[in-house]
Amino acid sequence: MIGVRDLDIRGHLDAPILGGVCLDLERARTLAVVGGSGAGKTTLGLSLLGFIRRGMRLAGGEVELEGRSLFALPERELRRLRREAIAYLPQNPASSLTPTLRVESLVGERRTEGSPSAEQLLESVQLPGDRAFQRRFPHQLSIGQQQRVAIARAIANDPGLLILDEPTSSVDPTTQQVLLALVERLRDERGVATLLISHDLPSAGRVADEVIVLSGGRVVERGGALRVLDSPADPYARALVSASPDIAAGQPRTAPAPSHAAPVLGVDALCAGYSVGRGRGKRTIHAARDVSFDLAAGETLALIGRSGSGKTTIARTVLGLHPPAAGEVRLGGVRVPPRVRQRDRPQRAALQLVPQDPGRSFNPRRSIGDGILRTIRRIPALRGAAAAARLTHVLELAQLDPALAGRRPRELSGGEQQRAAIARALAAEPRVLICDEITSALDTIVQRQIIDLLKRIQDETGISLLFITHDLALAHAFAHRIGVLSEGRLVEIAPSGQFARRPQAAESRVLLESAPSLSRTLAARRDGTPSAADGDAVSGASRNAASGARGNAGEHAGPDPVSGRSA
Amino acid sequence: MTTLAGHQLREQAAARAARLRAHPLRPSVATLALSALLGAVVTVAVAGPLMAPHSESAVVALPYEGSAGWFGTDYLGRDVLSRILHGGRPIILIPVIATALSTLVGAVLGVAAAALRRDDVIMRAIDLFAVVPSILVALVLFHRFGAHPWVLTLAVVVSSIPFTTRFARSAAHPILSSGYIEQARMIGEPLPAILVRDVLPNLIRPVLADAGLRFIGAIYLVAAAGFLGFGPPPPSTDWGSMISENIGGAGLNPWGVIAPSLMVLLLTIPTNLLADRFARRVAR
Repeated sequence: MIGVRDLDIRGHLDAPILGGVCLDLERARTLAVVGGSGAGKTTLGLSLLGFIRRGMRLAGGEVELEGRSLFALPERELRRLRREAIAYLPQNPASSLTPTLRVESLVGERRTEGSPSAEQLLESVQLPGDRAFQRRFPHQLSIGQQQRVAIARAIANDPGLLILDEPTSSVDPTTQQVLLALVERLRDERGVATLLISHDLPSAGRVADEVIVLSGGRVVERGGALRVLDSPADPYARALVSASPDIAAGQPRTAPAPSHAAPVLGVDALCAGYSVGRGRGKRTIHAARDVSFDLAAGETLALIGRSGSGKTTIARTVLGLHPPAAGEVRLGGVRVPPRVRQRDRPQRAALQLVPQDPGRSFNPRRSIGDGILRTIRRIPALRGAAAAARLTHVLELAQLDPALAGRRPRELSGGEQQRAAIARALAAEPRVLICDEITSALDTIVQRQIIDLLKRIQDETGISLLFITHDLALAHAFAHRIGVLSEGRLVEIAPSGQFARRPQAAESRVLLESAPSLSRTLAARRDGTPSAADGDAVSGASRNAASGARGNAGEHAGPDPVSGRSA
Repeated sequence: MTTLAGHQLREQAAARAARLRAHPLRPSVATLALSALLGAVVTVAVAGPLMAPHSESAVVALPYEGSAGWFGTDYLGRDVLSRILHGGRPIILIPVIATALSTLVGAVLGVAAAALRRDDVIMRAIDLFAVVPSILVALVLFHRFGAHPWVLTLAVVVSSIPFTTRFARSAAHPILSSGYIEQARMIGEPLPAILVRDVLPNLIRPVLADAGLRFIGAIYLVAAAGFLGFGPPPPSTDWGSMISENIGGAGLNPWGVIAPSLMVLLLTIPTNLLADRFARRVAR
C-alpha cells in the first residue's frame, strides 16, 4: 500500500537525518518504528504524508502511496490525499484541536463519504456520542477526553493509512488502552494499515506485526515484532530492548534497607492546595492531603501516581516553593520554615531539586557551567579556584564531559541537560535529592543511564532520594520503598518487593496492572491471550477474539512484508 | 551498550553545536539594504544643517518657484532642499529620546508589575492612560504648556508608556515563572541579583524589538504634531510642519509637499521593516 525506497533526508549543513530507509506497509498490517530520540522517527512518519519539515530537504528516495510517488504530486493533490486517505496523529494529540470549534465540527469536518457518523466515531473512542457532548468546546473536556476527540478526529476520514507519532507518551493509561484497541480494531475490521512511531516498546509489542529499529536515521534491524523485540540481533536494538522498564522482568531494589532511626527528611501531615478561578468561580484544589512519610539516609523513596495525583505539589511544598496549608517538614528531626526564603543556608543546601524539564531550569543566555557555579558560590560559598575545583568534581560525579560546561543549555542533548541538572544539585552537597519526573522526557536508553548514574552517586555519597515518577516499573527497579498517591493522599507506602507482590490499596493494583511490561506483552501474544497489562475495562470480549485470531501472525507471516524478503 | 549510546549522543550534541556556530545570525541582503537606507536618511537628518546650501530662513526666490534649486521654494520663497536638511533633527531626536525614556520606564513598571504578582494597581492605572488617544494627549499638553520640543517629547512618552509597560510585563511573566528563576530562588539568590542576572538578559531583546515599533509610532506623532502646527517655532521647521506649510501651493510647487512626505516615509518604512525583522528573530 505504501512503500518507502532508499529515503534520504538531510538537515542543516547536509547532516543526515534519514539515510537509505526502506519499508513496505500492506493493508491490514501494523508496522512499529522504534528507536531513541533523534533517530529520525518523526521525520520518517511525516515523509509518509509527503511532508518534509522546514530546514530539511529530500536528498534522494521515494515514498509511494498506491503506486504514486508522493514527492512528485502537486501540492493540491497531496493535500487531498492527506485529507481523504491518511490519518495522522501528532505527538501531543490534544494540541491538534482548534479551541474555537465544537466537538461536532472537530470530528465532523474531517468526515468523508462512507465515514462512520460523528456519534459512532466518538463511541469508538469510548466517549459519549450524544448531542450535549458534541456541542462542547475542547476546553470543556478533560485532557483524556481531548486526546480521544483528537483520535476520533484523525480517523474521521475513514483512512486507509494511519500514522501515529508517539501516541502513548503523553496520554493517560486509559486513553493509551483505547488507542491501542482502536488500532487493532481498525486493522481487523477496516483493513487499515498503521505506522506506529514509538519508543514505548510494550505498546509496540502489543499491536505491531513488524518492527523497524531506527538509530541515527538508519534502519539497524527489522523483522517480525515478536522476534525483534524478544531477541534482537543488532547491538543498539538489544540495548533498546534491555533498557525498556519492565515490571515483570525487573528485580526490585534489594540494597540494605536503611535504618529509620533518625530520618533525614520527615514530612508530617502535609496539606497543600492552590486556588483556581476568580470571583465566585474561585475554588481550592487540594493537591496534597495529610501526607506523611520519612526518608532515611541513603534511601530512595519513590512517589508514584497518575497525573494530577499531587506528586509535584508535594515536591514543591517540601522544597519551600509552595506554601503548605498545614503540616510540617523536618530535616534531621528539626522543623524547617515553610518557605524557602525563610530557610537558612544549610537548610536550603540539604534539599535540592532535579527538575522535570532540566533544559529550562538553566538560564538560556548563560552557560551550563555558569549555572552550576552560581549554586557553588551561593551555597557552599566557594570562590575562585575552590569553586572551579568543586565544579570539576560535580561534573565528574554526574559523568558530564567538562568540555560541555561552556555550552548553553539548548546546545546539550536531553540526557546531558539532565546530568547538568544533577551536577548542579550535587554542588550544594545536599542530603536529599528530589527528582521530579526526571526521566519522562528521555528515551529508554538514556533513562537507564540516568538511573544507573543516580544509583552510583547514592552508593558513593549516601545521599537520600525522593524519586517522583508515574512509571511504576522504573520505581520498582530503582526505589527501596514505593509510596502511592491518589488524589493527593498517600494511600500506600511499602518496600518495593513487597509492594509488587502484595499491593494493598486499590490504586496500587490499578497502577500495577497498567504498568508497562514488554516481557508480559510478548508472552501474552505468544500464548494468544491478552496480557494482564491490558486486562482493564476496554471492550474486553471483542479484543480477546481479535488477538486470539492473529496471535502468531508476526511469527508465521511468511515473506516478511517489511523488507520484502523472507523473515 | 552504554558507551555506544553515550557516544552517539555526544556526537549529536557536538554536531548541533557546530551547526549553531556555523550559522550565526547573519543579516540578509535585504536587512543590509534597509540598514543602509535608514543610515543615509538619519545622516541627512542629523548632518543636514551642515550640508544645506542656504540657511533655513534665507529667501532665495519667489514663493512656490518650482525651478529654483532641487525642490524649488516654499510659501515664503525659501529653499525647500535647505529646509528639508534643517528639518530632520527634531523629527529624529524627539522620537529617539522619547522612545528611550518610555521603554526604560515601561520596562521598570512592567517587570515590577510582573514580579509583584498583585499587579492590579499598576496595570489598572496604566490602562487609564492607554485608552486616551496619543494625539489628544499631545494637544492637551500643548494647550497647557505651549508647543516646546520637550512638551512634544513628554506627550510621546506619556502615550507610549502604557504599551511599553504592558509589553514588558507580558514578556517578563514567562521569564519570572521559568525553571531557572525557581532554581535561583531555591538557592536563596536575592531578588535584585535575579533581576539583573536572569530577567534582564532574557528580557532585553524582546523589549528592544518592541522599542523599534514604538519609535515608529513616535515619528508619526511628531510628524502629525508638526502638520497640525505644533512643530518647532518658526523659522525652524520639521518635515511634518513643512507638509502643512506648503500644502496651499502644492499645485504650483508639488515638491514642497512631496519632498518632506518622502523623507518621513524613507525614515519610517525601513525602520518599520527592520524592527519587524528584529522582532521576528527574537520570537524564534
